[in-house]
Amino acid sequence: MVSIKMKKENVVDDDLQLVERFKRGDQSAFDELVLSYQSRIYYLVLRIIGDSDGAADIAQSTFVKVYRSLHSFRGRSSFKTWLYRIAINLTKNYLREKVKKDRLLPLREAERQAEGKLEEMIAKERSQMLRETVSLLPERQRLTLILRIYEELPYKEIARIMGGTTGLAKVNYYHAINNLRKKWTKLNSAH
Amino acid sequence: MRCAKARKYMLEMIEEGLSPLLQQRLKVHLESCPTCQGEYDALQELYYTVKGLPLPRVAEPLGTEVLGLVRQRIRAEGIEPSPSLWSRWGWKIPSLVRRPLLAYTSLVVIVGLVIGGILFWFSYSQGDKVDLSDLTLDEVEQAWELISPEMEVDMELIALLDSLSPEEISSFSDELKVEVEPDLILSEVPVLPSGYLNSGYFYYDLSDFSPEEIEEIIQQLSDKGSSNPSPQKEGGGARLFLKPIDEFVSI
Repeated sequence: MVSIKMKKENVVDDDLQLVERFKRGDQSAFDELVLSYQSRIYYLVLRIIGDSDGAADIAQSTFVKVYRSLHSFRGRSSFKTWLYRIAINLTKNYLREKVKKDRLLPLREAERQAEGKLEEMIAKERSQMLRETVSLLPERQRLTLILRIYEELPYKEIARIMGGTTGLAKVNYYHAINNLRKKWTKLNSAH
Repeated sequence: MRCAKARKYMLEMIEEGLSPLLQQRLKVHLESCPTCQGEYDALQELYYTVKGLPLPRVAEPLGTEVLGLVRQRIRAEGIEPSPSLWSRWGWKIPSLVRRPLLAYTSLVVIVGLVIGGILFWFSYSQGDKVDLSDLTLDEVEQAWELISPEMEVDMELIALLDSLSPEEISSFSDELKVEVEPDLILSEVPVLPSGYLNSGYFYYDLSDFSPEEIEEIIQQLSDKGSSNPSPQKEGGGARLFLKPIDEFVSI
């Protein structure tokens, strides 16, 4: 336990040192930050949107934004929290744009896709269906669930990333689990 | 432990976030209640299935291409790091020192704005209290859970509460816990005699706690400065006298 905590503190210190080096004009410090976080950001976004090209685009945009604004980073939160917040905000924008685009699909096409999706869903394995169920959760609940279960972040940090209070993060998480539980029970009884 | 309370602790138990005392109590309950044991098993299965969900398949595993693409984009778009606020404005300070009148006027304006802001915030925050008179006793109890001492009093939650129907409030607050201390959670429905709404005091049902635990809760509430936390005997169960509601709902 102690070693994990020490490791975490070391990571935070390392990040801050890299940020300071970048602020002093050392471009290689930025590269190091990208290399140490690119996979985590990419896979976090991939888990949320389920599309590898989109995830790569968002990961890129996240680091471009970091590059542009790193001088404004004051270290009030950890670098990781700040980075996750940028990534999550860009992901939210992406999802909103996607919803808008999907709305513009011709109605027949949308219906056809929905029918296809339903048939596909019936044919899929339960875990695949569960993944679909997760993707159908309201955005805030889904993001909170992913940050909690896969990133194993404490509620306090989730609140900082998502905006809002620790209590609200907890509520969103409990709601997400509850919604999944109801749908999971239905799935189980259907099989 | 009762079933409703056991259900609230299950997820924390699975995430290994429950204190040893509550873990023990939950285990004892699960051993004696097949319904809760079934729910616990189902929740555990769901949790680990979700946790074990593989990532969506990607055509190629990620190498170092993100860095390459980021660098490429930075070069192509001619992106420069934005200077910090200090480097943008900090250099102007020496010139202000050479112009004392300008510096003095700026200082007065800034101090005036800060004081005005503080006074506005103070009057706003002092005057704003949540009116609970339209709520039923059940809803007041839910509100109490939402703005419990452990959580920050939060306008967003209050506004949310305000906009929800009683059913929604009920499902919303079912997920919340009122934590007094990590080890002890008071989430039982408080018995709220009608006369006590006006006097602004709550009673909490402590019949599920042992005398030692009640003592511990009282000690913790005393440490937190709760007024007059003393156990009462009423209607056969031990109850706890808590702070006036006004002290918790003022924002």
